[in-house]
Amino acid sequence: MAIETNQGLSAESIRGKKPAGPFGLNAEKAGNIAMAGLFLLFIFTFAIAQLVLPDRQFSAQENRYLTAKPAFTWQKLRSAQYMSQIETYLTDQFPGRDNWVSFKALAQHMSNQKENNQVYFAADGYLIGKPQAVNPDIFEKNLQSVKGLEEAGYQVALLVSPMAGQVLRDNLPAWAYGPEQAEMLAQLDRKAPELFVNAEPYLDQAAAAGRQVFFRTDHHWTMAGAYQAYLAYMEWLGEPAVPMTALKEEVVSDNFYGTLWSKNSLPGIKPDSISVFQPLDPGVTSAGAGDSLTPEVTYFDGSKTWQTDSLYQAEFLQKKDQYAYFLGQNQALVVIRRQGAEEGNGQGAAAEAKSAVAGAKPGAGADRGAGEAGVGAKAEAGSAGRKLLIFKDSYAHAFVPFLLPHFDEIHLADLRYWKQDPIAYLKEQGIHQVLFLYNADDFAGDRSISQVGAYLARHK
Amino acid sequence: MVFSSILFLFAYLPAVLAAYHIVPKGWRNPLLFFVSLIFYAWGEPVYVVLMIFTTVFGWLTGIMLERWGDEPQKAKAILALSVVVNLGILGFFKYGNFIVDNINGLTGWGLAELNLPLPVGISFYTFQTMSYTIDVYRRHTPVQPNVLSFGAYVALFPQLIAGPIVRYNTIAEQLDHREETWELFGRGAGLFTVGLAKKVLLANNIGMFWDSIKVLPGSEMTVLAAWCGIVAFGFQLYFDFSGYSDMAIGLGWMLGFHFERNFNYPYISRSITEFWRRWHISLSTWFREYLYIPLGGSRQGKGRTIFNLFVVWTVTGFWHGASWNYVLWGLYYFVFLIAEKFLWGGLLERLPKFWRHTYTLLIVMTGWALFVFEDMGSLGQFLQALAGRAGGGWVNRQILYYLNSWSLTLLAAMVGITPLTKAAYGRLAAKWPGFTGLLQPVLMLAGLLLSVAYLVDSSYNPFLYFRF
Repeated sequence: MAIETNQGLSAESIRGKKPAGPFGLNAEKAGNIAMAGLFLLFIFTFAIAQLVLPDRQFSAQENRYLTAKPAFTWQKLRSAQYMSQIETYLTDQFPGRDNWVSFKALAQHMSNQKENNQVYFAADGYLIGKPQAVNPDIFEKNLQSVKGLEEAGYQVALLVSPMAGQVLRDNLPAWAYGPEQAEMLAQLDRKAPELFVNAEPYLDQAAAAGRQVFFRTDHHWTMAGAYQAYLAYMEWLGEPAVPMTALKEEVVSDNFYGTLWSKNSLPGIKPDSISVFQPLDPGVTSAGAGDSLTPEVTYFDGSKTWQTDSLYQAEFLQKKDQYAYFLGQNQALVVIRRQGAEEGNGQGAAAEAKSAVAGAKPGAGADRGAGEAGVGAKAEAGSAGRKLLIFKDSYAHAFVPFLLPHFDEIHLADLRYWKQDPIAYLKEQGIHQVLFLYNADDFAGDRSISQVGAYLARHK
Repeated sequence: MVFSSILFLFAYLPAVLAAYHIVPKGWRNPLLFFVSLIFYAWGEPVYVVLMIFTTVFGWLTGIMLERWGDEPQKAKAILALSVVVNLGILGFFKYGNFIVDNINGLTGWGLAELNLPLPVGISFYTFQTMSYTIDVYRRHTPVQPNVLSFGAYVALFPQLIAGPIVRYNTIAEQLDHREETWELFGRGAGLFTVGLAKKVLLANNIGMFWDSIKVLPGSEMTVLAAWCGIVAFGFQLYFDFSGYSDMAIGLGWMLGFHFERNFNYPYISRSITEFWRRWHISLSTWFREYLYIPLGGSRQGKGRTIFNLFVVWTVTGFWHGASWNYVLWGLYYFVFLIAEKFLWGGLLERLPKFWRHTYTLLIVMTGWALFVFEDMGSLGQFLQALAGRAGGGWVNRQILYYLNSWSLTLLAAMVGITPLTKAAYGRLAAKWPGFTGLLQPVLMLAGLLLSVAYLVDSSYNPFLYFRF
């Protein structure tokens, strides 16, 4: 029975020419028997390894928890849910998973593919995430929330950071760059010119000058990148920024593989290093001499509260998610107080000293026209001290340390996790200054930001 | 369960192969039936009942035909019963919603939808059971006395969910007397790996290309993107489907079965008539054997032939899915097949080869648009884009990016739709048999390693036949 096949390996077409080899085997037959052995060896080796090897809970390379063995119930069996769980479980726990994942990334790269798992292979050893599509509906709602808060009498700034794909567009593969993010930022500039803090020119300039403003393996900006955004924010506030020359750079890690590498684990990509910028002279603050820059940081994850006395958490440098060195992982609410600045209504000496120095009129709606405002004109330097609430994603974490000299209290609210009424919180804490700080992907796609608008409507 | 999964490759298959070669020969068919039921139950356990019913019912019709086959009235009644029950099952589960929707649309009665999940592979196994009963009725094949062996035929996991449609008379002999050898096993392993690589490396990757074009909003669709997209879909479907058939045939060899080939390089055809002799051969054969020829085929005059073809192609289209676009797709081929038979077939043969290939591919690729868009609005828009009226003009940055990024994959696909590699391999084997004997296992290992890597890190591994 001659069965034709669609392929070459079976070599049906050469039947009839069978020179006998050693042991009466011809080469074709020997090749087939070798394939039989190899195939069985292959599937049985991994089948047995899968049974014998212990399960892993967490994949450091992929930065995620792996599926554990599902519990059996008849209910789950009947609905076939058990089967699909088994499939994910086996795939997640497949022996040598990390190597397979890297091998696939390499195969993608070798086959001239320009991306793997939505992450571009970019020039100069960069991995760059594909920008998320802008969801016009979410974008509009988010923007309305920001504007609504301003209309309610708060001083509101909106800093939406372009991402690596926009700033480092020259590193992208040919024809990969799309103008969507630039268009979105231009739209913000058009629709909310008073509120929008445009960090892009600063980031562009620094990148052009050879500064590494984004990590090569992670979707975050570096602290040097965050500094550029800080410059933009200070210009918007009309305050002098602490110059780079007054900061010292310290490399705290040189083995950081970030989230982009977790999705696209191409072998041969060099790890990132993490730099942190600290004031050369801790005594110098805009609030005046004698004020300490040592912060007191209170974290609230939605149920419990804890404190540290640093903006940096060195233990994360030993873990996978090293960006969490900056202020830890995302928490519902983080409150940073300069030590010496009293909690609550700010009756402390530092706050009084500061209000005396600044002497600006408190209250919302201070003049925000660029150029007109002198130092402190926009400063919310009432008797309560300067307080800022930041609605943010993790981009804020590398950014906030630069604000420490400028504010007595900085509240970081992550609306994805924080389920409190933000308007009531602002009133209760006596905060008038607000910053929305998001990266472009999040501002164009994160629904949680519009909660602010929803609460505003409730307070009307 | 699908073949292209870690579960199948490293749990199900080793367990089945081990059990199959450990049990005594007489137990092999019952074992195959049993493990095939597990394979089937994996996605939708409840429908195992349906599978068992189909099996037992099909087997019973055979037994009854043996007993009353000499009485034409009774034999006819048994045959009719089998056809009615099988088509009834298919109609109820596959076309129930479609019928209700259309009745509601016409009459406004508001009948409740059934909303049953489609039992996977139902179009394949109901057709297989019918082929058995019809063949027994025609005395083309002996009756299978053993219900478990018959079950092994109906539910046989290699061809259970995506074909090929194995007609009973082609494997009746093998069911009870088949020979498994290591050489055949090795060839099966090789063919299985080829199919796996076709599915995982080519079809899935090219599918991502098509998926990113399919979702483009009208304003960003370009003429180039539409054409590249539909060609990519044609590639995806071919490599997915023929890959699946290769895996089925390869698994068959590992178990000692010989299934007939299902695809024969359809995209190198020089006419639509030839295309359908090379595409999904087991389905066309089924319809020819059990529908076209019983209707009278082409031997009862031109008018009757056209009518017969009309019936066959309407049904062929409808078989692919319970939606009007599939019917349209079937009728589209009816028109071209009739035209080739009665109008321009002779002219076509006198054309240079190049133009005959162009003609065929143009029609087939445009046909895929009818196949893939179930909604007439999007279909219309897409056909306009193909015709040069796309919202985004002729070419834009995105399609250039995709073409650049997928260049090697598409190139491999273009080579893969031709018999070039096979011919080259054949020549190599004739010249240096020792070398190809060595090359074969190496290529197989490379194919396995790459496919497994893509399966382990897979975000995209669709099952395209959920509508069949």
